Amino acid sequence: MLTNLLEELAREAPSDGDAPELLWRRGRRVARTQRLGTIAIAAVACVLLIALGTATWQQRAVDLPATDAETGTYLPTRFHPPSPYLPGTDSAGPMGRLVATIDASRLGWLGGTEGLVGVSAETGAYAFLDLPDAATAYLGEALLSPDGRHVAYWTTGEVADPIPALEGGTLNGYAVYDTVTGEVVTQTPRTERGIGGGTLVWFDPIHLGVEFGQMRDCCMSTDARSMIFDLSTGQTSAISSSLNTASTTGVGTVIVSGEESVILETDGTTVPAQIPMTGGRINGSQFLALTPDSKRVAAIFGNGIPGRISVKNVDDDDVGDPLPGNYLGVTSWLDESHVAALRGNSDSTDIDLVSVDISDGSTEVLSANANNARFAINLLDSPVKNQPAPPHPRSPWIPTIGAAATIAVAAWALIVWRRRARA
Amino acid sequence: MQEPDGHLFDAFVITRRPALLRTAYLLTGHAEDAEDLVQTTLIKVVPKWGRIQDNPEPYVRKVLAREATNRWRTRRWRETLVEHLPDREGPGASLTWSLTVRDALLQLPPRQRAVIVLRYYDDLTERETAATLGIAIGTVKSQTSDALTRLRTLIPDLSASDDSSVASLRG
Repeated sequence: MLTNLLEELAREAPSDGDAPELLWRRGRRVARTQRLGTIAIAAVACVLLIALGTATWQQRAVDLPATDAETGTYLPTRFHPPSPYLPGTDSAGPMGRLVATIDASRLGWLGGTEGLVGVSAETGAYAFLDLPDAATAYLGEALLSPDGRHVAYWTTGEVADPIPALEGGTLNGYAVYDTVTGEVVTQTPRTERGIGGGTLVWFDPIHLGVEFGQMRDCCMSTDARSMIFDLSTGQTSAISSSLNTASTTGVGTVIVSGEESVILETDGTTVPAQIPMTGGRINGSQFLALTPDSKRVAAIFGNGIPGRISVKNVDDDDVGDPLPGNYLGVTSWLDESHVAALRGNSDSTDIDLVSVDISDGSTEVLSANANNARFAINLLDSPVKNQPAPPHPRSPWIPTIGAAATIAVAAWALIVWRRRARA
Repeated sequence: MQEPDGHLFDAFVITRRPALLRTAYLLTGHAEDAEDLVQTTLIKVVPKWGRIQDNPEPYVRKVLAREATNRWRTRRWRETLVEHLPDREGPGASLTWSLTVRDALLQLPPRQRAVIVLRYYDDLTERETAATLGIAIGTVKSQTSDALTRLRTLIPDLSASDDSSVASLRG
């Protein structure tokens, strides 16, 4: 019955309309309009995606300004907090000599880890150092060579009898990364359960002092041994002195301070020194700074830091009058009368690298905001230059979400456009 | 000069437009809207004509039905639901009956209306109705059931399925 009723009602339907030719022409016009709109929206979406990709690429690219041929290396007027999304040397390539390394968090698509950022001595560029097999939990102990050419660091890997769930992973050796070529030299000493309790200190640009013990259980290492690794020959030679509190001149000598202080050469010879207790050290500073001729030291003597810097001869007990001003540590000698030191900025919580004149205590800021930086100490007398700020790339999720949003909006615009074009 | 496809389109329009208008009238309830719906549908299928010209009817009817339901979605701001339809003046019993059926149809939601028209006027199966409207067969069943219940309320004589009832209704 419903069918009959509907058929009866349908008889009242109109029977005319526009001429078929007219409908065909309008249909073709709608099709053309739809095509044009589709092309326009797709083109806009492509332009936006290309712009987004370009901006992202530019952000992540390491700008490498031309190197000054005259001196080659510079000390930047200020260090910048590195972006956790900076590219690594695996993608950006070796950076060349570094003036400093900075401990920094490194983030990626799915999480973060500890990282080490290199600051180019030549261009001022920043990039994360991709150090093969690096024990990331120990990157804070990675050490830049005095000339900025090499980075020494602890490596992790398999050992015969690993200690389960060892915090920070199992150390199985150390390695030296060449910042110019990207090559890595790895040293894997014999160990059953891993090594621990280590110290790294550069005697000079090719001699690395290494000290480590053998892990016995989760928390203790024994049988500490010290040696010097010669980068030019790949040979190691054992030495008798502990390197635990060593400070370097950067030109072939270290001084080990403590109850029985000694000056140590790369051939293993030692000379006793008269060194009172020092106030300790922070990132970027040493326990004390020994002059290249091994005659004098500058340090913050006494208990704790900050404190005042004093200068003394290594072979007598007299400690000179402390220089005015409080410092967080000494880094190295710049020349016969100037010491590089770290000082808290009076206007902020930042740390400045300053040059201290030991004759009158006057200072000059070399690099501002040197927080968490460790320096190539032989490059600290380089000319100071206002290097460009590094790029500050944002999370890779942002351009991805932006691209997805662009595509979604474009798709939505297409649907709306095609509906409108039909109307 | 018109393309060859255009001639086939012209022939289809000439022969099938009256049938399309009848379905469209049932779907919209208004002559002007029916003409507009059919015209929009025919314009809309032109870009696809090359692909459907061998058997255009199913595709055209699919576009017609979906356009009818989608139109309501985009134009609902122009419609106002009322509790009781206004009284209409009618010269004859047949016209009064037609108005009753039409007003009852118009009180159905567009999708229910489309299901009723496709099932009971175009004589499509549940599966064909589902494919035409792009919905699940289960939805067709439930929408049909709901629509019939509503129509029986709006047209009480529809409950009686014998012809005499119909005849009495038609006056």
